[in-house]
Amino acid sequence: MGQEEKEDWIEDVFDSVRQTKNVEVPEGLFEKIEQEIDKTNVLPFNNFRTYLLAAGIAALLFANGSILYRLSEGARGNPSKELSESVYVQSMTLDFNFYDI
Amino acid sequence: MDQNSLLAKIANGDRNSFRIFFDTHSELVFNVALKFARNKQDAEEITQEVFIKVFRFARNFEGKSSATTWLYRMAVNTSLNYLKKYKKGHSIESVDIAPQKFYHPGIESDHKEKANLMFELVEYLPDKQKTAFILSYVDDLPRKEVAAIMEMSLKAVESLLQRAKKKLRVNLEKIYQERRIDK
Repeated sequence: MGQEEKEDWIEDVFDSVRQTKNVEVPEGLFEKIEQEIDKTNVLPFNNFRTYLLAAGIAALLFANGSILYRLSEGARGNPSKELSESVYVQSMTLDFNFYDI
Repeated sequence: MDQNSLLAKIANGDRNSFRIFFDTHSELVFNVALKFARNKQDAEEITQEVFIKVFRFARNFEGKSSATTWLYRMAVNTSLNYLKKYKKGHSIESVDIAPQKFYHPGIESDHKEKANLMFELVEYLPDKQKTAFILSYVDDLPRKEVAAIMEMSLKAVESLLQRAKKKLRVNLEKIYQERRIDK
């Protein structure tokens, strides 16, 4: 008896959401959407905008690429410059002796 | 006018076509959002967001699925994202934390209490189970359409639905026992 009552109750709870009727859309919602579109200047994504975006991304990638290239070239270093720098550092170390009285 | 041509016009910024599209589909979007958000104000916000997306991304509609399926998908995803953004921290274990009371305006008064309880429990389901349950069980959409909306196989949808029902049943049994003890 108790089990049957429980099963009936559970079935009732399940069924209760199946009788949901559609609710009307609040008035003035379309106008709100239009206002939002105008306010934030939302434009449809058409082909021109997509091409423009793609061109922008390509330009950014190119700029980044060239910066990275320059940095890596710099890291590899110019051998003659590197040598002169090491000689300069060495001379500084030799000339500046803390233990000299 | 068919939905594809309407969307093509919207993609070019045609406001009249946008209005027609809104009038045809806004009820669907609003009601899906209402079942997910369980709050009229949030459902309104979600509907607004969905139609701004429609206006913006109408050209992305490829016609592979129907406009309704596309819209359903957008409504579900926007609702889930909205909930994640504004209602963090829910889990199935926290059923005893008093959740927000919501009496769906589209439910007859005789069923309101039970429906409220059911929607409360649905809220704690994982996103995919929740979606499968709302679309398939509450909205009574054919499983095939649910699979198309969720971009899943029919089998996967059926499995999600089964798991959702099982979880809901377990929680309902607990609640039933608790109510018996309270009496």
